[in-house]
Amino acid sequence: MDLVWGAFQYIMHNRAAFSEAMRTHLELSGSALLIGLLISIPLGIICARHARLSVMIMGMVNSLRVVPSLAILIIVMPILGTGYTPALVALTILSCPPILINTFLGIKSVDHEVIESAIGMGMDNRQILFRIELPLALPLILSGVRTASVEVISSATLAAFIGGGGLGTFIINGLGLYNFAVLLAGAIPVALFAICSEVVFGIIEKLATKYRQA
Amino acid sequence: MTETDAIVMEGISKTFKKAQKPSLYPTDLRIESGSFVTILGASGCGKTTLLKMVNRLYEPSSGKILINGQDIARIAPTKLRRQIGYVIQQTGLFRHMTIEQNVAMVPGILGWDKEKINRRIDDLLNLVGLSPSEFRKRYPGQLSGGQQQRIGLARAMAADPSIMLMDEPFGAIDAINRAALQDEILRIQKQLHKTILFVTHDIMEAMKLGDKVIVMNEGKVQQFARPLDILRHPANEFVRDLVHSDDRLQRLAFVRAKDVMNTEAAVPDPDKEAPEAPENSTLHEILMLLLGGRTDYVQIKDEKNNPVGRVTLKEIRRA
Repeated sequence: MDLVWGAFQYIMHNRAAFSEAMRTHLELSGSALLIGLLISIPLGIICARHARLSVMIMGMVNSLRVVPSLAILIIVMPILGTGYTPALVALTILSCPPILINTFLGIKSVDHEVIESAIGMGMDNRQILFRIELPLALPLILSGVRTASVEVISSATLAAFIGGGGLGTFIINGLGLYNFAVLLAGAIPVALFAICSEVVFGIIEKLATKYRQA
Repeated sequence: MTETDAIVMEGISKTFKKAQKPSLYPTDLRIESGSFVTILGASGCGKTTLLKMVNRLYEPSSGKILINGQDIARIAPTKLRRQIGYVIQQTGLFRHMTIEQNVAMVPGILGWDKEKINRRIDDLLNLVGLSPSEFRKRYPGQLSGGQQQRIGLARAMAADPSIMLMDEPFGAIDAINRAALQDEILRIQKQLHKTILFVTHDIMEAMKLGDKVIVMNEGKVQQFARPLDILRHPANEFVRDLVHSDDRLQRLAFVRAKDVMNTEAAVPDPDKEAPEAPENSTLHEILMLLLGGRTDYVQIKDEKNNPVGRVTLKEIRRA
């Protein structure tokens, strides 16, 4: 308990640095997630349409999933150097697999009969995608986004290793100084953010599937 | 072609890619406007292929189809489909949308104003026997199979198409609800004079619903005639076997009272003992009434409960 109190005091004494780190952390995670969404959802839709392409991309993405977060961060370093941008790139790469895979599966799982009746009613491709396929795939897509968000928020900690800033800085400093109060000043907020995003996306998911509980 | 033909097929055939044989051999058909035509056959006989070419879900390998005199190859598929109702066995309802959103889909795409769509939803739900106030805001998942198919029907009729295509719509519904739905679609067709093409593999259903029946086998139309004519004059061995022309008892199940009754005996001779039956009853049912009653005739009545004729053993023998 003393440690937590110590962490709190540390934060109060270094308010400027802490809020700067927090801002960077959230900005980094948020941007990575947003860019990840913009890449993964269209790509997932394209994969669902083209069987051959999907085999290739899904295989690649699945193998990417096995690579640990830290490894990705380290891999981008020699290519992009250190700092904010390589951290953002690495986190974006991390956010893609769960969203991409779930978008693909979500679209694929829409019943054939539903699509057939939509076509039979005279809906065009765009209408079918936006009014039928995406809404029906939404629960799965959202659960992918939830997984990705937790992964990105916790992995953003590691961005500090390549000079990307964020709350990870405190953790590294704490480790280096062997000062656990400093370490916790970074670790506790990260954990709280991760839990929050899990809960918030969980609620959104539930709202999106209202028709199922009915 | 005459102006009374809603659908005209001229030499249409379909051979799917990589298939050995055609799914449908060159076929000519004329579907009269306002008629209820059932397409009867076993799975793989080409009946669904035939149906799906009418709204261009399949493109014919040869020949052409005219709808109300217009070559459908010249109409954009989406535009064509919005003018044709389409109902499939699995209903294909959009389960993330409420009933009203499902029904409003095509009118919405066609750009009807809200007021009109709203009225239309109420009318349609009433037409298929589901109370709007109770069902509008529900989701398909909250409905029974029979209710879902009623919604499928309402949705297909939303933009008031003159032609309806139905692909085994009642195939997945239990016997009791299926009979109710069959009566319902007959009533609706009588009321609205839609041209209906209805695919089924159920002989009883085909005979009960169709003004005319297309019997299909192995990609060819075997016979296209009124149910009674199919029973009395089967075109070939296949049709004969299918409808059990030789089994007279079985045959009675396909013949309706109104087709054979003696209309001259319609005078209301109120023999209180005489059993009564609606004109759509099968002779099978009439025979049961005769056997169970004490009179030698059954009084046939129309929908308004007016006597329109009688059936005696003589009529049954002739059937």
